[in-house]
Amino acid sequence: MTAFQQLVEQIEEINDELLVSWIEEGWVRPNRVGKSYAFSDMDVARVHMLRDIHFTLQIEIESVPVVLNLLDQLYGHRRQLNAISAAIAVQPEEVRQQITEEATRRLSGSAD
Amino acid sequence: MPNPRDPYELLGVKPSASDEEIRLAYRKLAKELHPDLNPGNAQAEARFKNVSQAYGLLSDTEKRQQYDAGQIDADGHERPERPFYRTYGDGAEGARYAPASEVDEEVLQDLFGNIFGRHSNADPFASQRSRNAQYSMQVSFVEAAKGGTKRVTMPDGKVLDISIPEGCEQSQTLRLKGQGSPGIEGKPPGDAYVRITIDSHPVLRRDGNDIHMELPIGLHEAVIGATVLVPTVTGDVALKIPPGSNSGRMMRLKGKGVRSSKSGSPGDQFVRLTVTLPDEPDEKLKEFLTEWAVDHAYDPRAQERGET
Repeated sequence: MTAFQQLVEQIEEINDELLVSWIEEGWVRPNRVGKSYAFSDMDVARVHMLRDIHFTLQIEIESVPVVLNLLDQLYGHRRQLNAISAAIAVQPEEVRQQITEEATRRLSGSAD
Repeated sequence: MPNPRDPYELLGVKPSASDEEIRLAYRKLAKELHPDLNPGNAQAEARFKNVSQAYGLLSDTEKRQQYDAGQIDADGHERPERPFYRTYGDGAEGARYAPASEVDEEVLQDLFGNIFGRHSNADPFASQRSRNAQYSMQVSFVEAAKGGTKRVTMPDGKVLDISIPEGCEQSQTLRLKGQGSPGIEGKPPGDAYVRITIDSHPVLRRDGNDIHMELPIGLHEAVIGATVLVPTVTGDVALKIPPGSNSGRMMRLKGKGVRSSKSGSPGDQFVRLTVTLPDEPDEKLKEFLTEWAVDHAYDPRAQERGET
């Protein structure tokens, strides 16, 4: 867990006001601890990502939610795909083969 | 000769580039390579790190001058490690930031529909509202023999408390009722099936409910007897080797095997002795036995020839 102040000091270009606004927008959702916040490792990584999106990639603040929403959808789909892959991985060899062939056929555009 | 570590080449700019040109080059590459925007691309992270490091060096006027003057190399000043969101976004924890309007199970169904093809409105899950999950788990030889409870995190992030039955067998599949994937449309969750793989033990071997092992003993222990510690599934026990024990002698440790799930009574552990000589021939022992053999006629093959 990382405290609010610690995180502000850690990351260049970030200040109290900015981080508070990101929390208020719901872009990063740290745990509330008393009057302050505690950031998990994932929250910290997310603040780094937000910083990069805005400062390095020069995405205007008004456009950040668009990018963030698309990214969260992307990660959501990746989690679901991982779950399906894990579920397929424990199936018998024959079933796995069939699924792989069928999926490959459809992805290559030869589906009816 | 091109230097793949050269910060100018990494950013694709001339050594005479202005600060502004360097900044723009970095931003352009970051848009393309940022690891959080490329979660499925392993190369992107490596390239992004190199490009960021190059930018870290060239965007610092002092460091850039030192590099140009050959006072520091491209690795000279590594930027501190920073975490990337993609490390977490793919994991179970990432669900915290899933778009709020989505219900995971519906999406999962949609995904099945999209990826694996669903042509009619027929529901592919109609016959299987409660979904089972299948896992596999590795347990040690001793855990399998003694049984016990083990908390494990499965590859999909699910944490299960698995009760390993005493004396469980290789490839045995345990059923954990109601521990499968969440049911669809309010149906109860399915069951989790966990297939057990038992690691081998360096010394012990299972044969049904009995345990077998080979125990090497020294010549002196074989002749004058000894008490030695042998491993069992419940810990080391002291085994008394009677004087004059031959190779091949089988000792039984009663009740030190695996408890039978059927009869409820435990098997035994069998210890087979093997008299073992030192790797290096011992001169003193050789001398002593040469003398000893003179007046101690003993022919271990006499019986085979029917001379007794």
